[in-house]
Parts: sequence; structure tokens; C-alpha cells
Amino acid sequence: MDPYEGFREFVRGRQHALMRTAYLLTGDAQQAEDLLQTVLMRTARHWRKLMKDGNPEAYVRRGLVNEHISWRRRRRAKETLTAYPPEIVHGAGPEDASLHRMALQRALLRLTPRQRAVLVLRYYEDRSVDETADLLGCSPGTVKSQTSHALGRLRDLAPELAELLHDVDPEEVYR
Amino acid sequence: MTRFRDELELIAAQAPEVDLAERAVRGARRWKVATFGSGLASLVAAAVTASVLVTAPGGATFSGEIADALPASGVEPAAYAYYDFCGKEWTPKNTPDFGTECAQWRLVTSTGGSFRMPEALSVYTEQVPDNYMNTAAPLTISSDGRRVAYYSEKDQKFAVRDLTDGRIRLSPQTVTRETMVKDGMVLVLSPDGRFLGLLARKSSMVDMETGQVTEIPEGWRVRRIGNGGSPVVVTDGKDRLGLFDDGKVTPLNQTSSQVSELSADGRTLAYLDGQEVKDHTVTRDFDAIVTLDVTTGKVLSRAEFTDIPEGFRFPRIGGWRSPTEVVLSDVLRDMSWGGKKDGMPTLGDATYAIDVGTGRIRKLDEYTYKAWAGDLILPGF
Repeated sequence: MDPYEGFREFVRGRQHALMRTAYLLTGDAQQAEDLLQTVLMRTARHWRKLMKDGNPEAYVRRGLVNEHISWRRRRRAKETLTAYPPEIVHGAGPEDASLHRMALQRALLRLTPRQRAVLVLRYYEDRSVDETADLLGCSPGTVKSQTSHALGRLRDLAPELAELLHDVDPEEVYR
Repeated sequence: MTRFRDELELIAAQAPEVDLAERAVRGARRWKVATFGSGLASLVAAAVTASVLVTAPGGATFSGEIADALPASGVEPAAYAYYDFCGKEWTPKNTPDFGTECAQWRLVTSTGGSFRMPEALSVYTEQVPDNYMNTAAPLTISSDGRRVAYYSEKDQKFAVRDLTDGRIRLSPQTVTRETMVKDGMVLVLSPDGRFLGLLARKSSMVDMETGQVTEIPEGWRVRRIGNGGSPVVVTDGKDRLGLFDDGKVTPLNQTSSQVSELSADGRTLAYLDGQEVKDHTVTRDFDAIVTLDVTTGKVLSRAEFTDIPEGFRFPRIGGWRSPTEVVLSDVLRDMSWGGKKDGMPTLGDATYAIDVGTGRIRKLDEYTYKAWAGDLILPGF
């Protein structure tokens, strides 16, 4: 029996969604690809067992987050940290939305990997505090505090995002 | 919340599209090879030895390219080795042309590195047409991929190189290049690469750690050596198997030209059975695998081949892949180039795993290179 039977189909079906999460976590296309490939290689090695367990995607997503955090030292060395916060631009046109996005990207890169992971899991993947805690291997209380810290740091790093972040329901942080 | 998530989704949408399925599978296979070496000690403790093989990533086997020389140390385990006459046609007349770097033995590691081995003699540039079957000096790889045996022309001795620490151990016997070109030589390594067997008219076994040489009695040649130098399986000119111990050979009352490595406990030997040869011509192919307890001479199992893959015909036998499987190899027969003038055949071997209990065969990998002629060596064969 091919030990990778069904693996290729799984990857082809899910790799785009997984790549998006990896890209949000790393903020860099090449690093996202490296991260996802590393996790998929590990998934392939355990594929038969994962197939029996029935939820390989959960394994991959957990691997993405944990691998991303463990890569911290290496990635930090590669990151170019800017000494100044992004320029504040006021307005409400389409260019403004694009600039907001760039500012958000830059600010996300300046968060710690764990803070970034918390925001991606909570607000991109829409996971609950408990699910996020399970994926990160920490307590729900830590998730709540990390979320609060991450949002606060985003506000500090990019004040022009205040309106955007204002939409985040404070209660939702603790949901 | 909505706008924040929308922005995150828009950022995520910038992620490039990728296709990682094959890369992930290749990486997983390479990992198996890399970890096999480091786990050798524990595998030895188990009752079998394994030989996990892998296809190197594309680009490692372009004929005619000159690879970097093997680094002094820190080389990953070897997945295979080959030479390809620089991708040129070989005839006895143009043999002198191959004293070049691109005709040297090339080692491909389990992680895809490709290095030439200048210290290992490859093509005999002075070979005469009458001796066309002996075109190059031998090279062999231990089944863990960590040690490589070859002929060192500089020293006029056989050498075993540890790829990890780079240490080269030389056999005590001096063999001239002239003798190699005239008589040829076959090398055999124990699974851990410590013991080297020399197969020529007169056969011997060398402990490469201590330099001690053990001569094999006249008429017998060493075929397989267990870890620690024992047991030693020998064959005579008619492929009859024997067990060499304490200067004597005890016949095992079995016959085969294809004998596996010994399992790590040193007791079990697998061999291919069923082949018939008349007047130097094979009249019936191998069709079964037999296991034998070499300490008692007792046959443990015999299984006829089943689920024979397409293209599988003339198998060779290597090391143990698991407690129940042995690795086989067979030459690939590629006719796809169609004999075109501007084309070039694809040469190489395919590997298979055979279950010694059921005889079931399944294909593992292919190892290929583009060339008109050459040779490819897999660990444990």
C-alpha cells in the first residue's frame, strides 16, 4: 500500500486555504511556503496514522501555528523592523483602504509570533478562545491576555488603524 | 470586527498559489533516509537491519555535468552512486577520453547533494577491447549509506570512507591499477561498513578498523558479512552457499547467485530461488524468495513471487527493509528515447520491497540518469 495514499489529494484540496493562513502568520510569501512545506512533510510522514484519526487538517493547522512560533528566532533575524511607525494617512477613499491594509501588514509583522498567531486564529479563522488555546497549547486565560495585548500593540504601532480596530468588539476578545 | 477580518482576508488573499504535494512527499521520504542513519544503533538492537532508499530530487543526475568534489566531512548518508561516461557513448576505442572529472564516480546523498569522488578510481582509460566487461573500478555503499568503499589509485589500496567524519581507512593489501584493469574486483561491505570483503580469484575479508585480514579458503568467495564480522556467507563457483568460520567453510546446502545481507541479529539470510541456467544462459527466472537461519542451516520460509510489478524481471537482492521485507533492485529498461540520433536513453535501477513471508512485491523507487552507458550502485547491494 502506498503510505501516501490520499495525501496528495488532501494537499491539493486544502493547500490554498492553508497557504493563506501561513501567509498571514509569516507575512512573507517565501516563508509561508517554507512553513507550509515543512508542516506538510511532517504530515506526510504520519499520514497513515492521521488518516485513521480522521482529521489531518487539524494536525496541519496546529503544526502551522506551532512551527511558526518555534521559527521565531530565525524569522526575527530576517525581518526588517522599521524604527518609525507607518505614516498616518487620513481619508476614506479606496487608496485609504489599501494604505490601511499595508499599515496593518506592517504592524502585524512587528507583533510577536504568538501574538500574530492569536489574532490569525481568533479573527481570521474565527476560532473561539478554547479552540485557540487548544491549538496553541496554552490556557484560555493566556489566549485572552495575548489577544488583548496583541490588539493593544497594533493600536500603538499603527494609530491610523484605530477605526478599524474599533470594530473589534471588546467582549469578543473574551468570547 | 467585520472590517478587521475583511482586511485580514484581503491580506491572506495575497498568498501565492503553490503546489506542495509532491515536494512534501519527497521531503518525507528524504527524512526517512536521513533518520535511518542516526537510528542505526537501535535498529541493530532490533532483529533486522533495514535499507531505506530514496529517489534523489530532479537535477542530481544530469549527465556530463561536473559536480563539486566530496567535502572533507559532514556528508549526509549516500542514497546511491553512479558514473555515466560524461553522457557520451563508450567504445573500447574512446576509453582514453574518460580520464576526466565528469567521468568520476558521483555520490548522491539522501538529501539530494551530488558530489564527485576524485579519490575513487572510476573508468579504466587503458582498458582493452577484449576486457570490455571490466570498464571501471568498483565502488560499494554500506546499507546505512554512511560508508563508501572504493579503489584509491593514489594509495594502490582499497579504501572505506566514513561520510560523516570524513575518515578514510585503507586496506593493508596493495593492489596495482594494472591488476585492477586486468582482473577486476568486486567489493562487499558489512551493513555497518566496518568489514570489507574482496571478491577476486582469491577472496579475503578486512576489518577496516584494525586492519586485520582474513583469507577465505581457496574456491570460496565472501558474499555477505554480518555486523561485527560474523557470520560470513561465502559462495563457490557454482553459487553454492557456505558459512565461513574459524578458517573453515561449512556448506549450507543451498544455491543462489542472489544472497541478501544478513539481518542485524546475524542469523537470517534471504536469497532468491528458482533460477535455472544452462550453458551460461538463464532458462528460467527467479520466482521465489527463501529465508535461511545460517546458524542452523535450516530453511525458515519459502514464498513464490506474487503481485509482480510490470518490468520486474532480473532482480538483485540487497538489505532488509523491515522485519519482513527485503529490498530488491532491477535494471530499468527505457525504450522511450526510440533510438533517435539526438536522444539519449534513461538508465538506472528500480527498487522493490518483497515480503519474505508472502512473496508479495511492491515497487519503491526509481533511480535514473541519462547516459549511453554507466553504472549505478545502491546501498546494501
